[in-house]
Amino acid sequence: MELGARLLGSGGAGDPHLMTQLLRSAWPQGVLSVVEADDLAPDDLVIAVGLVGSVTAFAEKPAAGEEFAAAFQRLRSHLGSDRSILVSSYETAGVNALSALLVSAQLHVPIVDVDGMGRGLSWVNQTTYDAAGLAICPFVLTQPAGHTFLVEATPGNEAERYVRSLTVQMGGWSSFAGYPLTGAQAKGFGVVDALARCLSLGRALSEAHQQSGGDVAVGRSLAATEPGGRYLGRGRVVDMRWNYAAGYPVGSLIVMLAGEDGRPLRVEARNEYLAIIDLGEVVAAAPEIIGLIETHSGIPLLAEQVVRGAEVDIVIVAPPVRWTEPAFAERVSLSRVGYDLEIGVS
Amino acid sequence: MSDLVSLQELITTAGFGPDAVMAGAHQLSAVVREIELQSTDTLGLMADPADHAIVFQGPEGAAFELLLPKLKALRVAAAFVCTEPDNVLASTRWLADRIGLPVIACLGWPPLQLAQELRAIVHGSVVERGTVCAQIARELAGKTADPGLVVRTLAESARITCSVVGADDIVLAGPPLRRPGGVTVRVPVVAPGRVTVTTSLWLVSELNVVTQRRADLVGDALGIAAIALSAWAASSRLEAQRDATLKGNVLLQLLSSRGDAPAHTVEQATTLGWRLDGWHTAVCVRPDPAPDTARLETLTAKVSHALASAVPEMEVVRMGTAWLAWATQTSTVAPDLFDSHVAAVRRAVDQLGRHFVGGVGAPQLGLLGLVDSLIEAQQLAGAAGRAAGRNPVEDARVSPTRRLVMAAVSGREVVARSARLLAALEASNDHALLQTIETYLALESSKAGTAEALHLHRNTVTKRLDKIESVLQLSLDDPETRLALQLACRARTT
Repeated sequence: MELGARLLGSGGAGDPHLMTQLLRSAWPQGVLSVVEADDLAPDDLVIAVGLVGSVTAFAEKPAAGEEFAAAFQRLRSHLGSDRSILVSSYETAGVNALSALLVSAQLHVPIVDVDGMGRGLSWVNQTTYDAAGLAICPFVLTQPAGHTFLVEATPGNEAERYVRSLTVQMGGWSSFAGYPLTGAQAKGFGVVDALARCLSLGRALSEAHQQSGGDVAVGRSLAATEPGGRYLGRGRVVDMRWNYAAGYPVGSLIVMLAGEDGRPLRVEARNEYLAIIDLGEVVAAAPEIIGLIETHSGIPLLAEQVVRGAEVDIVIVAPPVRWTEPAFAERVSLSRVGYDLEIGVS
Repeated sequence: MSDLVSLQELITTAGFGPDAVMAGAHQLSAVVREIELQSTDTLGLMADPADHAIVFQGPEGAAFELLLPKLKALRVAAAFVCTEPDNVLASTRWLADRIGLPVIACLGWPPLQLAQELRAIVHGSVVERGTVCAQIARELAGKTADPGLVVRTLAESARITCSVVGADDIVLAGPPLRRPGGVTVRVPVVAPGRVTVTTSLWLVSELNVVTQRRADLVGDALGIAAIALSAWAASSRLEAQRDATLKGNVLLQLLSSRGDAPAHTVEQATTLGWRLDGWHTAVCVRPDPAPDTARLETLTAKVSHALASAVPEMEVVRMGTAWLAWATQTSTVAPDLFDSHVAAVRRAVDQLGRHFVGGVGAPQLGLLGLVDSLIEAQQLAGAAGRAAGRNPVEDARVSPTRRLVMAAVSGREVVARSARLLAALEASNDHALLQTIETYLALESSKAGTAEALHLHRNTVTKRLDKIESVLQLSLDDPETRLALQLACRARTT
């Protein structure tokens, strides 16, 4: 799960390792029952949980472990519903891939395999739910000291702004519980089987790493086993530039591919890897999932973990199908996230 | 030969060191025709950016890298980015190197100021041309710009050596034309208000080794000078026309007075500087055939120049379709001096070309003698021609018999009848037949002599004569026919 969560983060969404430790602490048995989205009753109530704010701050000021459950409980009591309640993650990537598992383990609430992103994305409203017009509110934010905020009404595009402001005041990150949906809504507009894909990708990556060595590249093996996967090559990071003026990292990484066809690939990042440019052409772009897999460890590197000289395999993994549907695709396009790479020259 | 600025010159002149060249260093010899300031929004509006260098005010980073292949496809000469070199990442430099597109990083330059600076360098030649033209215009403003002043001004203000040239390349001011293998800049001087560009005055500058930049500068400078010279050309033209009309009228009165000219005519002639006493040797030159009136006007300068070169201090006056001229000596004209006059006129007519003929009258004393000599020169010029048996220049030493024959064949009616008589032979397009009959008649109807003169076999001559009889439907045995044909051959014009 941890490897898969890293890969689905596409360079962002934070390091899932700390959340893994919390989960192991809360549920040492390591076995949980997961409800598939197809098994949801139409009137079931599904609440999405996860971490919002800075994943770096989360690493520096770890959670006690109860914050996510607390947020979930507060929202459940606010809703006061007598329907059966299930928990899910709003983002199955990075630290958030395991957040719903943690709540499920702590509260014995069934977990359902559906989320609103299916990969790592930057903003809490960047979900298929919001794209479908489903409300993020009411939602709850809680932090380790117990400070809790309940937001009853705000549109999705405003919610991100409030969340950012509040989490700064709350210490850099907070646990989130929101997007209260019916079973029909979650199944109809969410990314189903997100947890299953995360697990599958992690296993495939682990196996590819075990098989790698000599001429066998971990990235090539992974791309071969993953439907829609592409392997762009192996190379070393030779240049990088980061800019934090916008409040979050925006930058470029240059990977010089090895071999006779050696050439630079330019990886554009904004929290996550968003696009790859090869010979002046965009050869991969969000919502495709871009992985820079460290060759010696087989671990997908987060953007902030990439250093000059690192040898990486560059792999492209197909995006969640939901994001390729016309009604949703625009929400995760490059131009929507501020990368206007389409310059018209007649 | 081109003076277009190369990219290397551009960045060196602008003060950028080699560190500013991020990529494409092997393409710095490319020429830069224009500088454009572009942003993401205006890139699509470029009409034809080939050989243009583009200063970017954005895009940067990945967007700029994506743009490189498109810029190369548009044959852009170079891209200037206003950023520090470290911001141009390795992939951008690598791609620009691969496609051969120079990228220059200009830290600390506002894009607009950079574009202006570079544009001033690229168009430096235009600025120079404008400065020189402005100075020439200033020098010539408010003055009567005659050819001498124009030549001096161009030499002093722009170090341009040029000549003012009239019809048939007669140099009015400046050095003579060399006609070298170099470049010649030739600008017509068109009188104000004239719709057509037909002109008989040019400004000519011959340049041995020249760059395009220098040729453009000379062309523009001569254009400015030509405008200033056009006023002088117009006034000179009017003055020449008035002068020619006056001279023609006075000479016509002298000729018609037969030596008994009224006092006011003599006074007018004296005022014109003509000497009426002394010994006069007259010359008449005419074009054969006569061109149209407009061409005659432009030929006057050419004929005057040729005759004045042949015989110094010769007066030349246009009279109808011919030019009359005479030289005056205080003492009797000795035969050898007359011979030298005739030889000089022959050279002048040869110099004028094969469409000119002339006559030289005998030296005569006084006003009556001048009139007689002029009339004789006119008659001899009328008899002169370039057909077989005629001379381009006839002179007074011709024998009475030849004079009689020439008079017989030079009349307009005779020429017309001769043309009709020989029309069938002319129509046959067989020059050998005309040559044969001319030679045969000139040699007193001797077939053997004709064969020898034309290097033919006697039988060939006989066959040709038979054919001539057949074509003309005449018998060469008839003496009258032979006389008529001989006269007709003499009367043929060139």
